Formats: sequence, C-alpha cells, structure tokens
Amino acid sequence: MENNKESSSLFLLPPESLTRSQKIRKFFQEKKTQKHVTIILFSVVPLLLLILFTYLPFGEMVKFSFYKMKYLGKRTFIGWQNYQEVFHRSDILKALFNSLYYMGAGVIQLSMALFFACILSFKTPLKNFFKATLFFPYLVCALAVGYIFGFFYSRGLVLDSVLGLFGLSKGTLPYWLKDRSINNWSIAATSIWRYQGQSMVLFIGAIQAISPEFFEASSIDGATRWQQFQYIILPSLKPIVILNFMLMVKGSLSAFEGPYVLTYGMNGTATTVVLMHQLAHEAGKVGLASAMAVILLIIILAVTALQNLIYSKFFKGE
Amino acid sequence: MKKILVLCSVFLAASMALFANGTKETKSTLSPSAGKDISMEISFITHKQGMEDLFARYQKEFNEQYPNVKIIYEPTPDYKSNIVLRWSNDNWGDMCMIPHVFLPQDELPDHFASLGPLSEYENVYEFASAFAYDGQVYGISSTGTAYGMLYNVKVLKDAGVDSLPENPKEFYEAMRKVKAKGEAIPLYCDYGAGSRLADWEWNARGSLTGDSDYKNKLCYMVEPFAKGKPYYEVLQILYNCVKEGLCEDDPATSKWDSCKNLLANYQCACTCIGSWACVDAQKLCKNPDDIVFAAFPWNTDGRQYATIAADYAYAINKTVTGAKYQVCKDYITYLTEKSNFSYDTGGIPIVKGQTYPKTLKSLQDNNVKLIIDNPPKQQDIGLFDELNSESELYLGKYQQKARIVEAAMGQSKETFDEIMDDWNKRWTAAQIKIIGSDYATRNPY
Repeated sequence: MENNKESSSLFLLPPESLTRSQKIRKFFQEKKTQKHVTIILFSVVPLLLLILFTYLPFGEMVKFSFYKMKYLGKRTFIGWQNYQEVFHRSDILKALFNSLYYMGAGVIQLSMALFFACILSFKTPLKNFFKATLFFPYLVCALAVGYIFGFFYSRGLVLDSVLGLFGLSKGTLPYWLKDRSINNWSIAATSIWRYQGQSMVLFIGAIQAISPEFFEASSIDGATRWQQFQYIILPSLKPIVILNFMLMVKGSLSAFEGPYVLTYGMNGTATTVVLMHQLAHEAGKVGLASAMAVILLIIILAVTALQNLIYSKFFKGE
Repeated sequence: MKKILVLCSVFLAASMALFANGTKETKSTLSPSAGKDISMEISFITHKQGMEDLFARYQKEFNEQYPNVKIIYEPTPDYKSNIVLRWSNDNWGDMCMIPHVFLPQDELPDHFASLGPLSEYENVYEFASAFAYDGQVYGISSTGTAYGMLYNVKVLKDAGVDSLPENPKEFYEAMRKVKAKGEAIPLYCDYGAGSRLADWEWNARGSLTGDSDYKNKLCYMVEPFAKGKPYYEVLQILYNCVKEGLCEDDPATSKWDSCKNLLANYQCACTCIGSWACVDAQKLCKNPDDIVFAAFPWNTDGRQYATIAADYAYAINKTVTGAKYQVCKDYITYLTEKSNFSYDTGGIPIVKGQTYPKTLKSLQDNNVKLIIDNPPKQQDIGLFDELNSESELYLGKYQQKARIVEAAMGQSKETFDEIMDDWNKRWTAAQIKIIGSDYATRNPY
C-alpha cells in the first residue's frame, strides 16, 4: 500500500519542531501504523460476533452449571453438585463410552480417506468423478442421512437385500438397530460414510502441494508406491493428519445427528450431546446438562493437549 | 486518511445491517371500539405446516366480519423449541398457538392476554380449564384428541375376532389369533418413532380409572406404579405383547408413516395412538370404515372410558390491547365456532353439543365416557412437572417407556417388575424431596 503522503511535509520537517497534534498525525500516516490499524479494524467485527455469540453464551452456560434450574423460572444455587452427579450416573458414563465407537469409526474413516486421497492424486481414470462421488455424502443434510439410513438398516430392506445377493440368508443377518451389541457400530458407520469425503479432500489438497519432482526422482531411483507413500507423502501430510485426527476426536465426543435421527438415542446409543439435549430440554435439568457440557469441553481440551504432547515427543526432530 | 474513513464507514454500515433486524412494531393507533372497517395486520405463529389453502379460506371467511383485516400466518417448524425462544421477548407477534402440557399454568399470564373469566367459558366450550389460571382463561384449545386404540376391523375379523376387545384377556386373545393367522402384524408398538410410545400413558389415567383427578392424585400417591395400579397394568400389556412377539419384527425402525400404510393395507391389526391418527389412516384405506378408533381394551364394570386431552390452543399476546385485542378475540371465536377445524381434523369439537366427527362415532356408539385430566388445585400448580423433572421418569414422553420395550425385546436384562420398582423408587425420592416425607398425608384430592 503505497502511501505517497510519507513524502509530505510532515516527514520533511525536523522531528523536534513538530507540535503534539502534528506528531499524532505523522504517527497515523506511517505505513506500519496504517497496517496495524487496518488489521485491528478488520478484526473488530468478527471478534465482536465471536464474543457475542460464542464466549458470552458459554460464560452463561458455565454459570448455569452451578445452579439447579430450567430455562424459565426460578434458579437455585447448588455449587458443585451437578458435577458430582455427572460422574455418578451410569447413563452419562455410558454415553461417554459410546464416543469410543465413533473414535474407532473415525480411525477407519481417516485411513480410508488417506487411501483414496493417495490413489486419486495420481493418474487414475475417472479421477474427478470418483472425487465428486466420494465427497458428495458430506453435502447431504444430516437429517436426510439419518432418514435414509433408517430405511437402509430396516429389516429386509436395503442392507439385508444387498447382503442377500452375496448369499447371506436373512436368518443369519442381525437386527442392525435393535441389537445392542452392534447398533452403535451401525450408527458410527453412517458417520464414516458421511465424513470420509471431507477428510479425503483435505488430504488430496495436501498431497498435490508436494512437488512432483520428489515422485519423479524417487521413481527413477526405483521406489515402489508404498515406499513413496511412507517416505514422501506421509511426512509432508503430518500437519494435516494431526488436524484431521483432532477434528475426528472432537467430532466423536460430540456425535449427535447420527444417533438422534436414527434412534433418538434409545437402546443404548445415546451419546453425550443427545443425553444433554434430553436432560436439558425434556427433563428440564439445564444445570446438569450445562455441567456435562463443561466436562465434555475439558475432556476435549485434555485429549487435544495430550495429542500435541505425543506428537511433539515422538516426531521431534524427524 | 481517506482509506481509514472508508473502512470506518463500511464497518458502521455493516454493523447497522447486523443489529437493525426488524422487530415487529405492530402497535395499532386506532380507537378502542372495533368498528367493521378497521384495517390492520395480525401476525399468527402456527405449528401447522402446508395449510396455506385452509388459512386462505379462514381469511376469506373472517373478512366477511372485518373486510380490511389481514391475518399473516407464520408456520414454524420444530414449533416447541422455536416458540420458547420467541416467548423470551414480549415482541413475538400478536397471536400464537400454545402447545398442550407445555407451559405451567402459572406462567400463562406472563405471556398471554386473558380471554375472559373461566365461568364464561366453562359451560360453552370443552377444555375451558386446560389453559386457565386463577379463574381466567388464556388459551382456547383448537381441537381435542381422544386416546385409545386404532383397529383395522377387517384384519381382526379375518383372524376370527368378531368384536373389539374390552379387557386385557380378550386383547391378548385377539392379538394371538392375528399372529396365528400369520398375515398381519398384531400390535404395532411403534417403538422407533419415540414419541408414539407416550400415547400409551394417556390410557393409564382416564381410560382405566374414570377419574379426572388421577393425574393430580399421582403427585401424592404412595408407589403409583405398583402392581395392580393403572400405569402398571397398561404398560404391562405393552411389555407382554412385545415379549411374546405380538408386535412388528424390528421395532427399532418403526415409524408412524409405516404404521399408517400397514393399517390401511390390511397388514396390521392395531396400534395405540390418539384419535387424530384415525383420519390419516382412513384417507389411505380402500374402505375407510375398516379403520375404527375405539377405547383402550379395559372396562370398569362394563363401562369403557377414554382419556381426552386438549390440543394446541389459540392465544393472544399480553401486549395486544384495545381494538386489536378485540379483533384477535373475534378471530379466535370464529376459528372455534365457525371454522369447523376440529371437525375436519377428526377431533373432539370444542363447542359443547356440536356433532362428533365420524372418526369418533365409534366412541359415541359404545357409550364411552370421555375423561379429561383436571388442572391441579392452586397450590399444586407445577407440582406434577417438578416431580416429573426431578425423578426423570419423563412421564408424558417416551424415554422410560422405551426402556420397557427394550427390556421386552431382550436387549436389556431388566424385567418389567424391576423397571416399575425403579420408577416407584425415583418417584418416591422426588416426592420426599419436593413435598416432604409426609407427602401421602398431604393429598387434597
């Protein structure tokens, strides 16, 4: 940003002879100041929105967690009782445990995304068609996904018919959503379908940022595709993999649309957010639900910090 | 300098656009007497979606009374969540619908204008007390629902069941016969739909006891879910039917839409639901007379009862006064008395003495007595909701009943008695905490 005023009269005069107001004007005409002022002004609006719509409500929610209350009506201060209750309730602990199913599914999702990304970054026929098809599920509304999979998992419908084509008779097939031993996996599988396209696209972007000279040089030296993956792709992708992993963990701990739309969180599929919704809006225990939300946040922060620690320790100096 | 000026003005314009979202200013400056030529717009938040034609018809008919008044409907999806947000600020509009069993009675005056004294409405309208507080009425129910069973009588006849069951023994027999025939699902428990399970509970009160005060007595009752008591009996029918396999194969994926189609296509014998569903199922059936809504299979000394409940109610914002209030009140009167909304949707007519729609004819023919849950006494307002909330029994909702179905399906290791014992324990703990350990002696009903 060329400021031709810098060559104006104020900069030509000797500094000691400037009056106070002249000094201030000169300060604001400097290039450095202008840059800072621009940054601050541009940041004010987003910061204002962030404070108004995220930090303020969050502060209120933390306040709620120390009360016994509904949204409308009287509130009683009860201190740490809500937090104690969270750790003693079996349904809340089960909901936290259910997040592990989603994390397991998340690992599969990231592996698949990485696999497809590698294949689709190089010369493959119909490359763009596959990219679009794999990414498409991410664009579908969550409620629609839940509705579709409700039919998918219904007895005798889509999934059962497809497996029947492979020779599996109806009698051997489980009840995908009724059977408690597998219904969490059924629901977690829908999130694999939904999110792996998004992870894949991020990986593709990162792989394409690697200079093709590396691949040419390595294939001249006789490296196999697997060796190329191990020694060229994976190290360059490290920050993206870490980012995706953190997003996946956060998503698993707060999975909501899948279990809510498919089973309303019944039959042992309730995750933390489904349970929070139930407690706050149907049982009217807003304080307890807020305490759950705060604990969930602490868990996510702890896991993220742990991840960073592990990565910096194990990959230091690589 | 110029650039900073430009930046500041852009920021100012942007923030003005952000913060100047129009709050509806609908104050009328007309004189208090509502003359026929008044011109105004009334906003009406409604939960009904896709009924533009019907609303246009109401608009036209109401314009015969007030030619220059325009009603602007605001259909709102996910009504119950959205309306609470809007009520937090008094400027939400002019009229809305109050969901039933949603707001505690003592909060009604905080949001809505009084429509008149209860004594004025009691003898003219059904459900007058459902939305009343302290002798004043704040909402007029738009229609009423009866609770019981929806049967496909042809399916029953084909299986050898000639008359509708009137006690649990006959009911089990009928279901077993239908299952033996093998062509239809006996009872569609509709577990996957969540909220349909709550329909069973309505029967546990009026339909079994014939007592309008049963809900209020529950608050003070010792172990209300014990064996032999209505809740136990009703839910045991649900448990036994699912356990014996007298229900659909995969309840986890059941939906009301599927049930509707199965009933209409003679592939299902019955389901426990409200009378509102009768019209929907009949529309899909080749022979609508085969779909019959009847009372719950229970009789007390030969007489059958059915619980009825108010539905969403018309209400006026408490900030609306003067001529506008009069016009709004006249609109409510029109909707209740002349629009035939309740009749068209197969509900219980609001104006006492009006003819019942065909769907409820079976109830009238069998001389079924309709029982409504009375509102609680002044000092007990909100008590049931508090106990419900504290005990987390979700009475009136589906969560704990889902637990019963899951146990019956074999997915959890609980027995029915264990679940009912747990309910009793939680309810008693809530009673002791909220009312006091001498709660049983405090029963004023």
